[in-house]
Amino acid sequence: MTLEVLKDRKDHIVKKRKDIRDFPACEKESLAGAVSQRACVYSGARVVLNPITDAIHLVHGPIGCASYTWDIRGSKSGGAQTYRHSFSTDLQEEDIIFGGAEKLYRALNELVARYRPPAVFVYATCIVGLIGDDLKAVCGRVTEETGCTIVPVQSEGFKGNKTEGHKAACDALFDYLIGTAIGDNNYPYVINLMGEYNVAGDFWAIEPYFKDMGVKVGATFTGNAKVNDLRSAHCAKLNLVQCTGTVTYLAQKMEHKYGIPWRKVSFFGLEGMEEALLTTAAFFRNSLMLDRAKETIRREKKMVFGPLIFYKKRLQGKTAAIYMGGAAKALALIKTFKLLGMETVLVGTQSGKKDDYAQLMAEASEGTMVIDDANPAELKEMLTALKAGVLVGGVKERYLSYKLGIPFVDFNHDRTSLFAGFDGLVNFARLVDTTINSPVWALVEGKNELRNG
Amino acid sequence: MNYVTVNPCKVCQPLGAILAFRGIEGAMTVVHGSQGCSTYMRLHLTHHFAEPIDVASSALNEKDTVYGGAANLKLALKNVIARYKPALVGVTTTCLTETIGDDVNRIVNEFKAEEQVNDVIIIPVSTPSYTGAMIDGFNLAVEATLNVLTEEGEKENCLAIIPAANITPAEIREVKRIMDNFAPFIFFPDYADTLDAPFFEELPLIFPGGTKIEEIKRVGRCKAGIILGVCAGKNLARLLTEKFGVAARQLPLPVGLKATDVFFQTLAEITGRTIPARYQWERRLLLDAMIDAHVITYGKRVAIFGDDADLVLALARLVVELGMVVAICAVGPPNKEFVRQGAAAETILNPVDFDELAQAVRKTRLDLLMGNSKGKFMAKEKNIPLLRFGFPIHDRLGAGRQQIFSYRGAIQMVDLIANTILENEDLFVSIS
Repeated sequence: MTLEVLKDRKDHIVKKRKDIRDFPACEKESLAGAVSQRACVYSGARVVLNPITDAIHLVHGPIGCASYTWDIRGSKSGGAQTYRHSFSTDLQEEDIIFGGAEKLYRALNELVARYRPPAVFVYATCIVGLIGDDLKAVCGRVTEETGCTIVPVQSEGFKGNKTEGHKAACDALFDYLIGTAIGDNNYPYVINLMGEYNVAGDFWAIEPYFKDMGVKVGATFTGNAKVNDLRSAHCAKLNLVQCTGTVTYLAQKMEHKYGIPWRKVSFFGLEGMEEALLTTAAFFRNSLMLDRAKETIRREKKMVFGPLIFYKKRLQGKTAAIYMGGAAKALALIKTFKLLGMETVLVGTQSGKKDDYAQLMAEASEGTMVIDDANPAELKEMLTALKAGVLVGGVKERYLSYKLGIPFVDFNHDRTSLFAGFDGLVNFARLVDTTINSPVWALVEGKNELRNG
Repeated sequence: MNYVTVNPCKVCQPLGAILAFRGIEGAMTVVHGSQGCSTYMRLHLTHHFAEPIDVASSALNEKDTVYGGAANLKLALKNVIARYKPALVGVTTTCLTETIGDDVNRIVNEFKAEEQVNDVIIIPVSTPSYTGAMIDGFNLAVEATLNVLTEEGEKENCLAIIPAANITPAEIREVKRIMDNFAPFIFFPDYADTLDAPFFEELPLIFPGGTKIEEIKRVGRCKAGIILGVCAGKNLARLLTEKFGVAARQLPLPVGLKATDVFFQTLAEITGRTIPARYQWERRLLLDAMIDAHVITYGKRVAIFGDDADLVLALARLVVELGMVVAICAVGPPNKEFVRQGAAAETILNPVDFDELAQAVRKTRLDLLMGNSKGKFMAKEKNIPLLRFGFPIHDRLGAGRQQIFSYRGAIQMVDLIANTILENEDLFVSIS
């Protein structure tokens, strides 16, 4: 395949070849003018923190940053809905000239008085970094005066890319919440699920498995989380890290300060879910727990076996393309497509790291194209050339895929189908089938053209 | 709340500029700012129109922000031109680049000289996000484009039609259908085919369609101009009239019977032609539909809201013609003309956010909500239907295919409103 790419983008695309240890250039700033699918530091911070349901998320900046992120996260809540509101200081020209600190101070006071929230996250946007508002000082002052925890999030958009934002969010959680309350120290089997955002209710699908093993989920970072759960997250005995791209940094910090070990897991796919449960049981060295885990796995696998065979028959031999934000889901997807008898011909991520790509390259079969920080033009060329049978991505990729006549499954943070756990896998397989086997694709094929006479 | 906007009823200026540039044939847009701005706006637009929407970014980082974004903007222009081969590139600024004080005109001129770019038109427009809203960004981009491209010249028998409000691709097509019967015309910016695009045999990087650059040049030769919308676009009317000598007048959006009458009468007056019989016929079809519906709609109470004042006013006029009561009429960004014209409503809210609007909605009896999809929370709370109009519509298909203009559009609206009321009242009663 000969691809037409910009010179500075060439190194970001590689082909998996047998016996060659190679991976794409990554962890770099997006190339100006390349139409990257990435967002900014603020967006990175927002995706990590937004699912915290009872907190106020105040965006300190002009209106756009708040408007575009109002309720776009598909994270579900079992209770509070505060996180689905969009709060902004809506900075105007005079605020830019004279500074926005005073407005922020008054805004915070208003919010605390009206909502009495357990915490307020204040997100710095580009402009705040430029006009020099002292976010920390204002937040500190309001915390002191009102007693409400005000958390500054240093997420100025231009500071780097989304990964920087994930770090800013982790720092905010680590510096201002974790360790500020005492949790249940008596129960020996408390874990935190990190990088699990309860999108479409994923968390609710997997929590029962852990409960069944006698394992209590202390805090989830951050799906369906309440501020108070996060405060005592340091009391957990183990951190399970799913979305490695967003929260590995936090898990490392917690290990360093509180001595909590962490394990990388996936709750997506048969293999991933099975491993996550066995890893947990092995960690606690509890044979009863291990038995319960094995029983759960046996039972659930039996339940999904029939449906998966059904979908495998309908999907076998098709090819798949994957373009995700982070690498953890991409990796789990390659494995899942294998399970469904499908081959992955293209895999890419917005912000995968070197280690991630090494793993992706290892998992990918020979000939698979691997791409970092792709843009629509590259995706278009590659999807067409590779004749991908389905693309898994987010909203921005959806309509590109449709316009190319390629079936599509949404696996982003605004999806509405839960994909975690054993049943989640069946949901996923059903959606792949739904899009691949729709009659619409036969209608758009050339032989169906409208002819004269 | 005084210092916090809760659930905003507006988006920022650069998004409007992106929309306007999308209405020029062969155009691409570079958002000069951090990578997130372009990505978020793409997401917002792509979700609304259900079309892929490519917008480039100069992707400024920390260093560029300290030392200026010139190098990044030049690189962005170079890469976009290499990859997309556009005829025109619109460059919008953001709060970031406005605040660091980048002189985009100078940067663009330097770029053209350094790279010897002669065959691509580059149009910078200043659209900081800390002032104005979407429609202002739209109008500023239209103004900037006219300023760069349009030439003065001897007047021809031609009409310029320029929207200064949030109108859909399908509404652009309707205006063009009507104009085809009247006089030669130039519609700018025409994003009908670029934002409601077909399934292509082979997907182009830049979608075909849009006002041709040659046409934009000829706007200055039009003998008259119509700006669709009265709450914004004064800059455009002034520019056409004063700079190019094109007698421009602003009209309300042709929504509902009377406003459509005004539109047709103005066309007849400007062109000196009689209104074609088919539109008299369509008008009578509308009257017939309104009579059929009048008992169903009479006295029904509606709240209308959005970020575009002209669209909100247009919807309000239409429902008033149906005997409905506009209980609340609300527009996000401040707009004096809207407040002046919105008098028929019981409550006028401007400026407003969805928090304040929701409080007003709680306080009054309502049968119907009309506005963008962000009204879904109010509809759910109040358990009344929401008819989705305006921008954004993120939870239904066909936002770009909605068409409420002219007698034809109104007929669809009358049925939709009446049927929604019926559906909500009783599913199984025959109309009597």
